[in-house]
Amino acid sequence: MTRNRNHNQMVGISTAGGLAFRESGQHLEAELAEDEADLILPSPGRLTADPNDSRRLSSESNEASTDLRSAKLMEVERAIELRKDWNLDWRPLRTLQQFEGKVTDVDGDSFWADINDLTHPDNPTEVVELSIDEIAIPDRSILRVGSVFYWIIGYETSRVGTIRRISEIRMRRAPLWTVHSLRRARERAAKRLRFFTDAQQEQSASG
Amino acid sequence: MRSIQRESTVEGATIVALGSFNPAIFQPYWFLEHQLLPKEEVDEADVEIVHRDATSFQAVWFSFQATHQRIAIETRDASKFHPLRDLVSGIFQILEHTPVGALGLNVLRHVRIVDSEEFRVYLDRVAPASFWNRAVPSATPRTIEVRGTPTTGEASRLEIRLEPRLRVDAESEITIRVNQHYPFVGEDGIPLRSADRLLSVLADDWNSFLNSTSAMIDALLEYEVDR
Repeated sequence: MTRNRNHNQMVGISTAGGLAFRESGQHLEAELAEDEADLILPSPGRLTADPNDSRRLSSESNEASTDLRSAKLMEVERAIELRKDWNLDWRPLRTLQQFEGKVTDVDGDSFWADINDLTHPDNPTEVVELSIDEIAIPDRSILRVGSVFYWIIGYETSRVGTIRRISEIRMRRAPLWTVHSLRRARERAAKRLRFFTDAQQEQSASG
Repeated sequence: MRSIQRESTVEGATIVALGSFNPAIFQPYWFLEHQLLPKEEVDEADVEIVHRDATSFQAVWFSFQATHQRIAIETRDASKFHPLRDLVSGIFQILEHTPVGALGLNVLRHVRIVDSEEFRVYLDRVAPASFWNRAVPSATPRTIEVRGTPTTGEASRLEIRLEPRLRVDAESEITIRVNQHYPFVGEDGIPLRSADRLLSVLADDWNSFLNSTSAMIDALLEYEVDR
């Protein structure tokens, strides 16, 4: 059981993956259900929130009422359910092999990479030359030496049952280094360097 | 052992983090700003709600839901399982001081069955009718849940749920869900005040979790044939 203090009350997290919120005075208590394992499981339910539904949270819902009666009415009005299922399409794909690659050279219309087999991790690293045409257009701008990508080979079944072999490459996206994170990395590196140099000095002093 | 004949298979994966979050920051352009998603995908995102209490949107290949206590990101495209891991890692690399108390790695496989009669035989191995029919006439299994020891990493438990649907006049199908649960609490039982453990689990366990889960599901779809 986990509890947090804030401004609203979350009265329940559906074990089916849905969510319900209810305004209750000026405090927030968040409660997870007794069995957190159920919370971890996603659920493809079929409920969809209606965008016109008055139960959805509005921008005015932050106002806290001091009147008990109106606060109770708001409890009902402000309960919402988020979508339990999206229109996200299921992709009928049977993966044959997946590789993680690291770009070692980019030369004109092609690039070279070291690839590791994610499906059979014991397989040795291989070197391959691939065409830039294989990369999705939005990903081409981040292709450079050192970039990491995933290469998936598999069979995809169409709605009418046709099976086609697919080969897809998607570049890995990592967050930008911020000034703050770079400063913290420098601080950590300096701290570790001090640790080793101090230990070395202590060793030479005692020796 | 024989593997049940499948007409089609789809797979999905979900990563769930429990902790203390600020849902309002997770609007799609936050992902663009931090270079976690390309502009083309962010522009296409379908936003249900962005609010201080909850954010929910769908991008081309994943859906995202965040509340104060829970973040869940799901994909239904097996080619995006590793990008899904990278997306979650990216979020918590940026929010490195976010308290994360638990992590769930989830895989779901949905299989349509070619032959309902063969499926009946399979189900009889999983939940023998001779056992159930003593108490319930025409008993048909609907949900079977099993909890076990995880095969990889520092997870505390593994849960598998089978949801078979045996139909005579339509396609039979079965959904298999696997959940591997990682509690991140200190020795005092209080959730950790950072995302470090989540990041190391995603880096170290994700691929082995996918591979072991795939083998596990394949094994669960096999059954013993009468001699």
